[in-house]
Amino acid sequence: MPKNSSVHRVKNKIDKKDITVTILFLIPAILICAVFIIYPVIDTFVLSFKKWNGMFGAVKQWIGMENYYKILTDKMFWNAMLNSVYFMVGGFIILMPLAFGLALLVTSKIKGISLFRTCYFLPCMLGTTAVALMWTFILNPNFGVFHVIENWLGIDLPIPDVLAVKTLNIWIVILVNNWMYAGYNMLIFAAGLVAIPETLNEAAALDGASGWQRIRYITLPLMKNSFKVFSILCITGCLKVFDIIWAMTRGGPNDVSSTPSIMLYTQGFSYKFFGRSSAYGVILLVLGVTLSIVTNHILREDKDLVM
Amino acid sequence: MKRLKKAAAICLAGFTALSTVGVTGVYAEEANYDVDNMEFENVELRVAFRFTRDSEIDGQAKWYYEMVDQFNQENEGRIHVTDESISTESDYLEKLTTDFASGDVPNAFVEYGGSRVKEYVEAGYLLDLTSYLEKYPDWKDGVQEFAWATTEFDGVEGTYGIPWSAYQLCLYYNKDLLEAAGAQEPESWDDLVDACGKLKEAGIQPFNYSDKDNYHYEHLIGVLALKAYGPEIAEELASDAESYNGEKMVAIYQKMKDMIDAGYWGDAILSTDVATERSMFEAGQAAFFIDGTWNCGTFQNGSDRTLFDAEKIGVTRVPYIDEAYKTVEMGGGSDTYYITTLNQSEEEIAATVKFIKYLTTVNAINQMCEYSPTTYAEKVTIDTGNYLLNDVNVIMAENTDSRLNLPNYDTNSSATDTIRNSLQALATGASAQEVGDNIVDKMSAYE
Repeated sequence: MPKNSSVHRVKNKIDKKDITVTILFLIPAILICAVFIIYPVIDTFVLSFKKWNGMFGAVKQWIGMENYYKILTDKMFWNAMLNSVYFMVGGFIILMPLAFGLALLVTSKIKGISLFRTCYFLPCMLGTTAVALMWTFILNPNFGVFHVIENWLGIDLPIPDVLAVKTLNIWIVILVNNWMYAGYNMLIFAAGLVAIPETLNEAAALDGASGWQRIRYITLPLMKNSFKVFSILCITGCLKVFDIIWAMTRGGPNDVSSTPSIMLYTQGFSYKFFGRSSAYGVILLVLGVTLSIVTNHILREDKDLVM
Repeated sequence: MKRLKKAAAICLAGFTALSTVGVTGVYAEEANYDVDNMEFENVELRVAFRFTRDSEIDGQAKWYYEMVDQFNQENEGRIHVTDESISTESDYLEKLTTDFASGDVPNAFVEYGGSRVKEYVEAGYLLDLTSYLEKYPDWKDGVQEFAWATTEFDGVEGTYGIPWSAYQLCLYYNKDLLEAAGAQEPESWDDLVDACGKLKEAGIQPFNYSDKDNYHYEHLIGVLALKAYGPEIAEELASDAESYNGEKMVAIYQKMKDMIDAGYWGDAILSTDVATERSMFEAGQAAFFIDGTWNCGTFQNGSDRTLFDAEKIGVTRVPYIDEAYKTVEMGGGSDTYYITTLNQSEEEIAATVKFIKYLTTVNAINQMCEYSPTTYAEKVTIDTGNYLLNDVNVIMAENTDSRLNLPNYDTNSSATDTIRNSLQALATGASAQEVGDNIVDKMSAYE
């Protein structure tokens, strides 16, 4: 008994010491999270029920659900949401196969693979503004590539101003965005591909499986985590896409290529509706979290990837 | 006890009396508007303007930074000015909005007046300069009367800024191209349409009109409305006596639409910015260019000066729609310095006034005009030899009336952005009526 009691005391002492050390180590992280994430989120949530013109000292008037009502009944919001959906569709239909194909290429045993890998990743290293400006100039009807080709061929046909045409302009931006991020997402898939044991592929080859069958029955099921990472990054990224559209079209003309993030920005900084802008932020947060949970559920471990 | 009470009463009375003297003294000091003769000690000022240091082509920026350096040198140990300039308008405005939201505002900033700064004035965060201008009548008299419009606000008494630049929209034209097409300098809108037809027939592009920057259509709509219905249209629109989707305004949008449909405006309106449009005009790729009077200096300092040096650029008024309003123009004061009071000490405010006064005397602006010949709010007395500027000065002297941008008069602070965004739809196939309805719909959403 005395022996047990002494052990118990020592254990208790160690436990208390451990807890103290743990808390001390956690405090900086908790503080940073609280100051830079939790407090702003709570403040944004509260502000989304108020009206404030962004003026220091001005009264923040409580207006209940009015900001949400105005947003949800505004056709510009639904147009912006549709543009985000276009981005997601482009992400899954164009970017995902492209990035996966590139990943298959750079993990295969062909000569000069390092050069290819660098080339595919290069657009991502350029930076969004540089890429956006470059493509804006390329597509410019007055002095862009098509204009130069026309001059070279000696023809004088009208060149469409593709960034000014509704729906077409958002798809142009999507293609540029996919071109830029193909290399980045290639790395996600390449990481998944190199983690698959080579022996599995060799065994399948011995059993007479074709290249496509090996991808379908071995590669894809074992890369579910890579697809999950891609899907979540794609969905949340498309929902809050801002920079590339802002740099190429500024959400115009007449807001037709706007996205919820651009609306969030303009409501706050152009129109000084900071409450409504916060409501946009809350809507984006709720949608982002919900869609991430749904994606996680769809791609959970015990489910097979359906092809 | 009685003695103690008496002593306490005397002490309190003395303290109260002394306090009053102190307050009076402070008040007397506060009421001192003679900033040139004030004593300052290590006052740090932050000013947010839209210049770029080391710019090779912007004469105004060159002049400004020389003035700042000179001011800091002359006031060493007393006042020091730190520049917080951002040249890109949207970034600049974003920073200003954030500053006013956080309460950490610069001591002075530049804006265009009207609805863009009205909220700051109404909140009491900008300095009323009336007393300072009364103290220095030469400073006040140095500014042209029309330019004060950017500093005065309906329902608020006082003068809340010092304008330093002035502008008016003009029509620039390439003399050689007009001659080649057999066209004349247009006076009326019909003349302009006629000239565009002749140019098109001769294989010359009349305009490479731009609205990528999103303000060009709004400027033109404004000046055409003034030249069709007179200056009162500005107040009528602001007071809702006239509507942006009413018959009058739709008729103006239709004139723009007709130019687009005829191909006179060019093919890349929304992909072209003003700098590109100007470059194409300078390169002889378009016969006309509608923009502000600041281009007199820009043509002179530009990279392609062939047309300017050969005096092949002409300038005239934007064509009228109703001859009765031929000399009514869109323009007035433009860039204006505003001094903030939010969380600023009396000493900082006085030092800021001293700095802004330093920048806006007639002598200072004369120097600026030498660096960048254009139209200014102050009564510039030097001749820069810029032939376009001379012509513009003659035109401006004959103006009978002028107004700023139409949205500036609106009480809805979203008016400028809403109208500018909606007008872009003209270039994407929307009808004139649809554009008008879109403006009204959007503005009602931001009431």
